[in-house]
Amino acid sequence: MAELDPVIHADARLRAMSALNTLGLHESIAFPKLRGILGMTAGNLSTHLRKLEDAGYITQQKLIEGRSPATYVGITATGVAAFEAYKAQLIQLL
Amino acid sequence: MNTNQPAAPEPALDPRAALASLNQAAAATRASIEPNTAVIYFVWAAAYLAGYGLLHGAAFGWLPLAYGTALLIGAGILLAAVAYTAVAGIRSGSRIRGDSKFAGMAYGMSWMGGFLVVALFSIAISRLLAGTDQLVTGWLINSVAILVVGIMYMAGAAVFQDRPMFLLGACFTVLNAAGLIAGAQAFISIFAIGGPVLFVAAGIAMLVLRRRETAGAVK
Repeated sequence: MAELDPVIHADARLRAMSALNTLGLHESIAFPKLRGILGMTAGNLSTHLRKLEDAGYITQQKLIEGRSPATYVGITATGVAAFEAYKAQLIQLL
Repeated sequence: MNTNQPAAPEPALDPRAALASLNQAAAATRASIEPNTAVIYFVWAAAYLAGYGLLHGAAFGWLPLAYGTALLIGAGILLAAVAYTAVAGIRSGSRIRGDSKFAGMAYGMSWMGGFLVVALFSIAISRLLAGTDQLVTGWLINSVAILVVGIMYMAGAAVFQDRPMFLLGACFTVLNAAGLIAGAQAFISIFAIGGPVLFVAAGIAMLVLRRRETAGAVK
């Protein structure tokens, strides 16, 4: 069996990927709302999202909502494929 | 002294714990981005029970209420349920961008458009059948309203990939057919009982599905 993807392997990143995969492709969620779902601190979530972004699994889009800056996070097709493969491997390990 | 600490190694993998964590995050996400459909169905069960119950009481004399008054109170109850549903939908969809935003908005607008036409149809048919038994007019108006409800639930199921919603729409369509076949005297009884029963069943089904998700069952 292939080695489990080390980018997704950390629990925080696995949960972030699961949340974004549930949201779906072509969808993005505001950073504070994602933080609320995952129950993580802003700094911790930012660090993990950067690693996922560097791997090409997610995108972070900065935009202006009204007069405030906002960051929206979404999963990429590469991310969906990586997450589904990781999940399938986990199930195989059971 | 070397103060550079090596990176902490990843803890040993427990596939079951990892899958539970993954499923818990998915369930929490769904709970955050989707309205609580179980509560919405229960609200509509109460609205149908109260609305059609009032009409039944006014039509068959077990409530000291004029039919027109019952109709007005029923309309008020209906609007309150619509407002609750709209607020729940808008709140859950907030701070999300993408295709689902348009789908939700289009679906909500379709409900509004459908019921705007039902309201206009109600006025037109009430004028056309002026002097006819109110039960007959009500029977025809409600059958058109429930036609919209059935179609919207089935179409919504196609948009949101929601099988229980399709079943609910199909059941309402069957209930509507039964009401039309049964006739003007029986339709209120059919909707006063059948409507709440269908919504309560749908609400319970959604609660069971959500519990299963939250429990983190491995798919």
